[in-house]
Amino acid sequence: MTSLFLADVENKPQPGTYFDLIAVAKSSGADSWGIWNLRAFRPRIADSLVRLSQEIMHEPAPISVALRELIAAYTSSLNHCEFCMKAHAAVAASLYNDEALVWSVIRDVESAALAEQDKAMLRFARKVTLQSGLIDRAEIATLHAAGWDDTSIFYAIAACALFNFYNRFVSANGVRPVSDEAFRRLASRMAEKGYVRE
Amino acid sequence: MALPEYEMIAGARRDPAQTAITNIPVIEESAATGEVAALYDHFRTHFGRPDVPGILKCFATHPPLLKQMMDLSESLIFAEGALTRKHKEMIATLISAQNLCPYCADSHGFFLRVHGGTAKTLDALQTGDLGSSGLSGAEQALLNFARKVNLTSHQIDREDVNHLLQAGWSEVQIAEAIHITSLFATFNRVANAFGLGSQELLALYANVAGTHSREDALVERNNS
Repeated sequence: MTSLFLADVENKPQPGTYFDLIAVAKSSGADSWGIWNLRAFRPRIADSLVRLSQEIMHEPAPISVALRELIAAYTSSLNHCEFCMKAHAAVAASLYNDEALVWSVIRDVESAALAEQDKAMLRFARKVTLQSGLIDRAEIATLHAAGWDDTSIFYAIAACALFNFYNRFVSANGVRPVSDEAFRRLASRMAEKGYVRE
Repeated sequence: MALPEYEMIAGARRDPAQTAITNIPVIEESAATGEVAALYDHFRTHFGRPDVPGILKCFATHPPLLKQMMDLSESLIFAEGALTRKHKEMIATLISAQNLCPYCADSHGFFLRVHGGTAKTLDALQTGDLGSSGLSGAEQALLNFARKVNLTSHQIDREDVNHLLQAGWSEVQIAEAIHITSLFATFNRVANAFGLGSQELLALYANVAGTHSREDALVERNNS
């Protein structure tokens, strides 16, 4: 029982990967993830989103998968989305092999023990999340000066913008966090394989 | 499936979009090769719009993303769903105006006008005046909800949803409204970070569709 706000979304999963995951969780009594119900409700759109997420977050790029996941966790904290924040903090912690570092960034980027270059990208993600209408070339010049190329900046924008989607999608549907242990299991799978589930 | 809004752009025979100055380089149509050129061509022929919109040129810097974005927009936005195109465009216009995204606010305001939104409705969405008589009571409820999803989604609760159900919206429509609002939280940020400016489609609408404006005036007079 996940108790989403919309009973239709919760109770009418369409056939597919997430339908099967929901069924297995139900029969085994394992953690049930509300986000599976969101995906099973509109499988075709969910499929586009998952593939988009895989490309943005997990495929090789000049900006590391670890930093992209940290951007996801940080963006989610700015949007007060507890589910996404915990999930992607766990993935980032697994990739950095340093849980304390990840949570120190979420608490305060400036005082975290992170490279200055990476902090510049997180400050940019904050602006994309909270004040995207005020972004101009000066912001991009700051990132270039910090050593980032346009491709890395593109991935950072895409990762941050993607989580601005997920945070609202998840929160407005009433998806609640699962147990820390379940987040850790998710993290070790996602750190390795990313977003697509076969 | 040529879309009426794109037919209007084609009919206006505007000069091809000037190479826009953006914060980060995009892939212009003249510079597209291979997979991107093929996807641009698919877009122009499939939708009947002569030029490729700037938001797609942003994603074209990474071709696999371009394909996913085109699929997503086509299935969720540029089609009737549980919500009509008009209601989808109302949400898109409101959220884009709130997020200070000149590119999306202009293009979706234009789409709204083509799909039957009056000048008064557009004005209400642009200024965030959701008590406007250009919106029905049910529309006001839907748009207030979308605004909350955009600004404080973590404070959405069952009461918000119940309020919409009472206003006559179905669960499937509410789910779609959440989906579309959330997607615009993403599109607005991509367009803004790239620095896309307005395409001035609303100005084009005003020029091409002078007759529509007179129809609006009649509709609004009859409604008041």
